[in-house]
Amino acid sequence: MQNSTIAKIALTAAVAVAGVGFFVKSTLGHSQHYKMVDELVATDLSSWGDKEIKVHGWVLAGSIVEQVVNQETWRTFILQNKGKKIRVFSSGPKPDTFKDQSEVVATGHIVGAATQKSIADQLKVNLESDMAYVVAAKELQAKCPSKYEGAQVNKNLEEFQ
Amino acid sequence: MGNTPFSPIALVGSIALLLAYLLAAWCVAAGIAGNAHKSRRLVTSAVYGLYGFGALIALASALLIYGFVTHDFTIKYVAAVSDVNMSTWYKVTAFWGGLDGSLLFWVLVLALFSVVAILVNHKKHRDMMGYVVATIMVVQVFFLSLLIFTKNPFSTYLTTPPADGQGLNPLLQNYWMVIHPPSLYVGFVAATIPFAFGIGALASGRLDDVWIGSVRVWMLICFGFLSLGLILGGRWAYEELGWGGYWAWDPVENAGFMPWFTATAFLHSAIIQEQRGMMKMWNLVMVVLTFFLTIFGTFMTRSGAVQSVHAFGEDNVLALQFIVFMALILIVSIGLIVYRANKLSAKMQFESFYSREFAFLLNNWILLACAFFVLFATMFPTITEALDGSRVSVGIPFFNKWMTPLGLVLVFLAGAAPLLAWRKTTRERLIGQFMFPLCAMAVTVTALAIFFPQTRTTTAIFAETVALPVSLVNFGLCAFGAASIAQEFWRGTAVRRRQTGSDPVTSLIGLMISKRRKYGGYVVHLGVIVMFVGFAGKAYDREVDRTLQRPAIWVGLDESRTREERARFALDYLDLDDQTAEKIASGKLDPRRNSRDGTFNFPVPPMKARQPDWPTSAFVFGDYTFVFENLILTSDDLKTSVTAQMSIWIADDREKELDTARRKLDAAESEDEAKRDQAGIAALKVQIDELRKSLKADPISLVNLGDVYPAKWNYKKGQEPTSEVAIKVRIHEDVYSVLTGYDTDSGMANFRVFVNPLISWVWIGFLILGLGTLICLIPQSVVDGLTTRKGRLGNAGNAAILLLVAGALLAMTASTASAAAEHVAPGQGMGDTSQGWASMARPRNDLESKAMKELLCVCGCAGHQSIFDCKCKSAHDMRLVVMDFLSQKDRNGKAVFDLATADGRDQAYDAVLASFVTEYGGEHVLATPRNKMSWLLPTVAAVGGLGLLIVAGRRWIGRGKATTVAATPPASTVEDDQYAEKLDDALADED
Repeated sequence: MQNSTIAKIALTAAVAVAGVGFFVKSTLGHSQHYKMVDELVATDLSSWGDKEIKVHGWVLAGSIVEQVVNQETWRTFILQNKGKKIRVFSSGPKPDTFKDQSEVVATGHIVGAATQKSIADQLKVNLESDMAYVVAAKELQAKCPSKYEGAQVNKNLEEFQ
Repeated sequence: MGNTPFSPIALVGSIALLLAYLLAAWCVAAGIAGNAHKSRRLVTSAVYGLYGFGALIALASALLIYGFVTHDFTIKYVAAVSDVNMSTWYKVTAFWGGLDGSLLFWVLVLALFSVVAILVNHKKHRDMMGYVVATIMVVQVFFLSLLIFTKNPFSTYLTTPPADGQGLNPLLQNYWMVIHPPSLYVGFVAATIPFAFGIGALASGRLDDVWIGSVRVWMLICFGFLSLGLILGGRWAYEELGWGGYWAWDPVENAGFMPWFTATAFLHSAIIQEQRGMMKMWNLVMVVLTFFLTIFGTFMTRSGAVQSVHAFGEDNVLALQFIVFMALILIVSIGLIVYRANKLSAKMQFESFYSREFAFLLNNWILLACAFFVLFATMFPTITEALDGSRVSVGIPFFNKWMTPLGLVLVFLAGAAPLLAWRKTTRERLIGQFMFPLCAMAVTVTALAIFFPQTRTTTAIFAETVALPVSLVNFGLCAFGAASIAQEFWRGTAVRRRQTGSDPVTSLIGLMISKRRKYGGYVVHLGVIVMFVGFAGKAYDREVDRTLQRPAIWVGLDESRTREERARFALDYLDLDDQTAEKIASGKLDPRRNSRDGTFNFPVPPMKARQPDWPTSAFVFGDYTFVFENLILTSDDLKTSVTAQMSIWIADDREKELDTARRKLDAAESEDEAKRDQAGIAALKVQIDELRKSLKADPISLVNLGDVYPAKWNYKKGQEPTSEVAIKVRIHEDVYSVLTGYDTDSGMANFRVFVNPLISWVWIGFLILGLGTLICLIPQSVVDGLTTRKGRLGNAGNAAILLLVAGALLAMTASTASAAAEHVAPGQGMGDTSQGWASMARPRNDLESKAMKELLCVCGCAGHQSIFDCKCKSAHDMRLVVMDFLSQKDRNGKAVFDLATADGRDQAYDAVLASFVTEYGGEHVLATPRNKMSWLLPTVAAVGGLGLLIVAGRRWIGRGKATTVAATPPASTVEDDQYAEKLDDALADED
């Protein structure tokens, strides 16, 4: 094999390895985690920082407080699973099925409870002393697998079979 | 038969599938043995077997559709995805609405494509045809075995079948969904044909450049349909899902995108093989990869391997079957490529980095990088879950961060590659070619940076630390690419003009027809560039959430108020015309809202800008003011709907005019006293004074852009309400509103409003791309037909390709024109009273008849008929309303509308339509909706353009021939000759 060919192969391999390495690093930095409430509170909540996270749980009955402030609908509620709880703040639309004890996935960031104090005051909610961190959600999704075509078709088929 | 369900349709259908399965197995065996033993008879039998297979699958598909149309609910699949109330159109769509049917649809499309492909090519590639047929049939056997053994769409109930089916998911009962999945399937399926030819060439060892010509056309069809499928999917998401965007990097979207990248790469690298005899192995790899990715994409979405909004649920058996099949594809393909490696070496070598082939190679690498990036990022959650059990995913920003720079490099290459010569580009040519496009880029970037400072915002690419003014770069590269293409057209046309002596337009069209692969390709590039202009708008989109209170008009005109209070409210706050205002002022008309059904007893005009309730019922967002006007509840056979009426206003230009006038005045007054234009200064002062007075009198003066009607529909059979978004299309941006929630008791409603700049250019760019693809696909026989004026098609195969092209054109036309149609056609089931109702409440004069023809019946009868034509009771009731409305009288017994004059009739006509729009909460009651007509224009232009192209091409070619024979060619310059040489060099083998 000629030297130039070896050089070309080496160069290509080096570029490829460097590219893939950079890519994997970049991916890890951008990955969005998905946790159940109990899994989440078992972690060090202060370590989440800027990372976006999806939190999955059930709405604690009677915990929803909602109010329109300056044309914006603000709400807070407690999300729970297996006895573990975390408070969620959100504004804007909510899923049609959102109500007490409904299954919800909140997408957002883990922030210190103190940062949400002013909203809590407007909603007239007292922040729990044992919850130093809350979820500032930018989106709430109903966890409803039957929402989309295939799942529903399969479900229908199963029911019939 | 007693109570045991029996369906002749299911029986015959199942038999057809079984026979097809046996036939397919025979074709595989006969095809391979035929070519291996050089037995022509065996190969011919395989070819005819393939035709017979196509007929059997067509029969099975027709039977399934027949089962849907005739409500044969003994068939489980029919019962699962349709019901009696669906319109015939959606019943046909339900064919591919579920997993079982979609698999049969796949087999059907592949069967039809393979029949056409074999018809066209079987004489050309006799020595590999057996392998080609066998490859296609192996794919068919795989899909058929899924169909027959696990997902038989013809399986029936053993016990009493249900009286009615489950119905199709409402989200799928949408025009875009009728054509989006089939076009993606067609794109996927079309990739099988190049793969079959690739394997045929490898197996037979016929690896000369002949096969690549046949394959290229099919890859182009694959590219065209994948593009169509992807864009329609985007359009569906944009109109139906209500999140304001069109592309979310969802696994299913990505599954269609990955083969698109490799197909595009192949279309470019195939040119290098044809021109320079290089990249043979690469081309085979691209063909195999494209096919593999279509199967992999299907696997990803159908087996539940990846979580997605429209995945088909988990199915481990199916997953295993796909994995085995994919392994087979890879083993056979790689094995054959390695086996034939010695025949795949390149004849030539790259000579220079400044060559067209190097630009193409670079483009291929980047497209491949795109495909693998998307593949990796889509599979990332699955990979991490398999590795350490943690559930993580990567979002849209991550995809954008990587795909944006890669896309920008591709735009640059689309502009640069045509400027480079094959082999190598001399320094002089490099300067001469790049000068104009680079200048265009520099001017664009400078102008944008100065006049639109927002374009200078930097965005991170690849990683947070690397930031670029992406928009500015994007617009600059778009200008570069567009200028390069324009230059190519300009120079090519100039050369043709000198050679043929015809006028510029004729030369241009003639050039495009005769060199359609090259110039069609440029048109595709132009489409992509225009789409990138549209993508750039994404960086500037804005959204807002607001909760609003139903406006005062509901209170102001409520029956509980006194008559005087109502009149005062109407006069103060409604934009009444003089006549109505006078009637209300004089007490002749009582502006009243009916508390029973919420309707008003006169056509309600939009409210004035000055409103008493704006703090709670209106908001300002960007340049727009949104006013919540009304919340309307309606219901029909299939659903109940809550529709919000929202008016959109935009500030008038007085503030701007005042500002400009002030600046001019300052400038004029700063001149030396001798030079001052005193008359001009006086005029400016008067203008400023008037504007000030006007602004003082009416500080917020807004211009109404019209009303939008976002809604929520609750299907009686659906599980969740669907959001019907309302989009106000403007040339530079869309105003997109969604009703995200409501409370009918308190009259509160939640809105999410998006302002999406430049988005229309994405759709317009796609139309250009489609047109370019069609130009590339015009068969030679059509061009020959044009030149001989006989118009005779060469053979049946070319006719079939032409048919496919026409089909694509139709799909494109339909897809854009259909924006005028409403999302969901309501179902049927109105009973058998048609004759009676149809004959009652008929129009008494032309005006009534005209209005009735313009209003659509909302009953749910098939075909969206006007109330003039529709035979149901609802139409009858609506006709009565029209008649009553037009002949209504005020308190003094005087007719409200003066039907004796033309003006009066026009006014009455507009008023009755307006009242129906208000009543039914949207322009869906109108036969010709006003605000969506803009979509028709580009389509008409595209179709017209193609027609013009063919007609003018015919003229040009005729004239060109006459000129060459009759006249001495005009003296050409050295530059022309060089360019002509370059043209010929580039195009020698392309046509």
